[in-house]
Amino acid sequence: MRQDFYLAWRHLRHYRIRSLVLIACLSLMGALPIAMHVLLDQGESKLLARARATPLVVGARASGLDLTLNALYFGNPDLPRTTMAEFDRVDDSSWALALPIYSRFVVKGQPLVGITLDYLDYRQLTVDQGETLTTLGDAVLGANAATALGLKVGDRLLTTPGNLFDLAGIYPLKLRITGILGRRDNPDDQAIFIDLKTAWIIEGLGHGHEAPVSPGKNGARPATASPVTFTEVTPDNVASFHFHGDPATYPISAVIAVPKDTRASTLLRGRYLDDTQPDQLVVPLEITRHLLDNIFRIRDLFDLVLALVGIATLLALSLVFWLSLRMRREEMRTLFLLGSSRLTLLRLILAESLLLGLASLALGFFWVRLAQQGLNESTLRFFMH
Amino acid sequence: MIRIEGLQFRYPAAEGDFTLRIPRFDLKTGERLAITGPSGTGKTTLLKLIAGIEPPLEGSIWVDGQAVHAMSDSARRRFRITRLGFIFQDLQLLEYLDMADNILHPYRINPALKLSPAVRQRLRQLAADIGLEHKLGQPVTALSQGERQRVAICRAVLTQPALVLADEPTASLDPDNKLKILDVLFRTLDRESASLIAVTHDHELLGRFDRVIDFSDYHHAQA
Amino acid sequence: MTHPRLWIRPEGRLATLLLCLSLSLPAQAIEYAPLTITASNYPLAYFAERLGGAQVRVELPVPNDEDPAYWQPDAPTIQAMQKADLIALNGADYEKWLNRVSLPHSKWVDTSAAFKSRYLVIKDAVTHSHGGNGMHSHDGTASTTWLDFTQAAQQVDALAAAMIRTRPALRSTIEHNRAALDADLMRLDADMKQVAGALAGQALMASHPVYQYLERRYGLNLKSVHWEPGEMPPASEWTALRQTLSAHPARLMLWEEMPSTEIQATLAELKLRPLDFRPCANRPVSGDWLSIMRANIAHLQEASTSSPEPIRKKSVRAKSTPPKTPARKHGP
Repeated sequence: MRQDFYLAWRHLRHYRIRSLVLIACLSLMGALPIAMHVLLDQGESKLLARARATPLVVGARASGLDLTLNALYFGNPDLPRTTMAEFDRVDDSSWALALPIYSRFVVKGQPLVGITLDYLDYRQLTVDQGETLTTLGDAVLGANAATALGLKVGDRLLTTPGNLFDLAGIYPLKLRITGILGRRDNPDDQAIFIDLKTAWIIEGLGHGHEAPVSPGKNGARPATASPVTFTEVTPDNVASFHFHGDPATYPISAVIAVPKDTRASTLLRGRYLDDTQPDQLVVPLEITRHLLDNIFRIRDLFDLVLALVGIATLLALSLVFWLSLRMRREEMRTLFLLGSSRLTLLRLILAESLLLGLASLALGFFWVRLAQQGLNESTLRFFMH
Repeated sequence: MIRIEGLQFRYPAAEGDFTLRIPRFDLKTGERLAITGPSGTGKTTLLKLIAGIEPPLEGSIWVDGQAVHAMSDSARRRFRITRLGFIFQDLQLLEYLDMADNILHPYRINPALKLSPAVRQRLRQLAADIGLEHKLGQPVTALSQGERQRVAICRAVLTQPALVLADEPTASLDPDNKLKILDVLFRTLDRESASLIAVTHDHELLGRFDRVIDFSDYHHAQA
Repeated sequence: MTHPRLWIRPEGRLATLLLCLSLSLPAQAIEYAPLTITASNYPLAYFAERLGGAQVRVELPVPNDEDPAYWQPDAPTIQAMQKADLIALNGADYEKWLNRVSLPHSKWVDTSAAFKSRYLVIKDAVTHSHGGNGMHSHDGTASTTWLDFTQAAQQVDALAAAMIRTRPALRSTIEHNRAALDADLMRLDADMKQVAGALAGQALMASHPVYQYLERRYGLNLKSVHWEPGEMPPASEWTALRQTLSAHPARLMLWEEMPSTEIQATLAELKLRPLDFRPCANRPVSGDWLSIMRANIAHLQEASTSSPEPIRKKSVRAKSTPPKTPARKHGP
């Protein structure tokens, strides 16, 4: 048997281009349907897991899918906004843990997401390097965002208006990267997380500037030229940062609500049954299931196509096999003359097929793995934009 | 070495109604026999019959004391492997193997032959004898025609056969090389004490053989 | 056994559950580690300590020589605060730093939220500075909420509720302690009412605008300047005070801390008697919040019935001198 494999190996090695092409074809033909299904299954389980981990989402009345994609995947930055008043309403109910999200900005292709620290706790996002958010202007990066932006702890990231979807009235702020989060294989890996208040500063709702020179005699503030505005929060100037207007009117894109129990969930959902309200409550799991139903309908079609491709593949493979035997007929005759039995000939062919098959299998696995890895990046990105 | 009596062979009707009849044929041990004659007169067929590749219709074939005509398929194969050596007209070297692997090839395809260190030692000795020791690791495609011919000879005799059957062993060579190769073949056979039956059209070579049978009038020929 | 804190971490939950099931331990066994509370000022820290007793560990991250109302935590302090189980905030815009830091919202308790609608808004605010301490203003909302002791009681209620919500096992302890603390607060309220009654609308001055809720609750007739006890006000301020006094003939002036002898001498010329009435926003050198409040009321009581001598217990401590007690640890 060892000799059979030796000869088979020498043959495959000698005709290496042909062997490689064969292996590549075989592995691709095998891997394609498997990868397809693995990807869909994995995508499904990832989508469902994210949806299960996000029980309820409150946001401005718009498409429920858009709202879900914004709150779970930081997509749809143009989603109509709700306000902190809505967050307060959920928070004050004490029925649910309320996690406000402001996912509106995109910096160099990565979503810039305003959150409270509760979000990181709830998603079990812990910093691998550095520290979590402490002060205005701090940012922590998802693992992929750190890689994509090439940033490390201590670096600065400028949110110039050119980098953002919204060009008007944006405050260019130099974010300080304080930490990089551990990889979670979910959309959080893509995000740049900042405190909600930092997001509002970028929005232009708050700012820091030099103190007015001196108060007037009667205590009135001087109405002189506008003081220098700070573009980076430092320990020296942090105290000068302040907000204008009623905090309840500050924008957020969604509130993730994690109800304490079924009763709390029902009560909270009951609040949003009235369609005339400006805000709505969606259940991401329902939305995701609906989305997946549509995808599965397409998958069934794919399966049919794949079955046909599979049959064609089998036919093509048989042809390739027969032709390669034909090409070696002379050699087989010699072997026979030299005293090979038919069994030996068969074993030689088998050994070669086996080697080809194993190599294709290995390569096929590699394709599937590659596809799986690509999923985190691309498939979820597809949903995000 | 070989004794043939009352041999009669006919290919199936579809391949023409050629019939080979050999009432009697003998070959002594160590004898070098050349068979010549126009194509279609049954030279190669005779080799096949002796090798047991084709079974005779009638008659008996004894080679090295064994009744080839009466053997089972597997016994014939074993006999062919262990007692005979072949040099094919177009050599039939395998391009995907290097020189050493080509010579060792019979050992790799026959469980009856054991590829022992002694065999490898013999391979080196043979290669040295034909002056190609330094090319053992080279692919056969890198060898000249003459060198390839010598490789084929080595392959035929490595198994230490009693009889070597050669079909036009010098066909593709220039006259100079033909003689050289024939010398190599004869020297090697001498060392191994093997008999030879060679089919050839090279009339200038016939004189080197112990005996020549011309198949153009073989139907009358008697050994 | 490992550190008891481990038992309430998520990864420890299954182990805890199994342990509880197998040993039939009461649920309290899980919550073995003390409840950690970080408070933004001393009154809240005091309330938390009173409510939780030995079951809580209370941190007041503000250094002893700083006014918590004008404090800005640095990053290490914020990190330490983030680790607490509960973050007790005064609310009423007391924590000016809150808008500049990241703290987990779910751990906050805004203790004054219940009386949000009754916050006092300061309208004639000015920005001013005291020596080298930089500018500050009393803009916006009056935040010394606890000087109205009924408000203090509401803050205690909010804090107690949050503590119970965070650590249900402590319910009975906290409720028991709250009853005692409530009783103390109600006695302060009653005493203060009585003293205020004795003052009967008498004009009073205050060195700093921090007594708004005291004034409202107890019907005091109070006007404020913006003076610091260790810093001699310029002549213009004295002129302004004289003008104020002509229309508002106060004989007593409430001070957060007794002023320097120099200031006291000048006040004596105006027949204005300084009175030690401490808001006690930071941890006192000696005593606790309750004893300081009692002393405040006693000082006022004494003043309402006696001669114009400075009323105080402790010696003057200028703003610039370091605290006599070692600075409290306020972060890693």
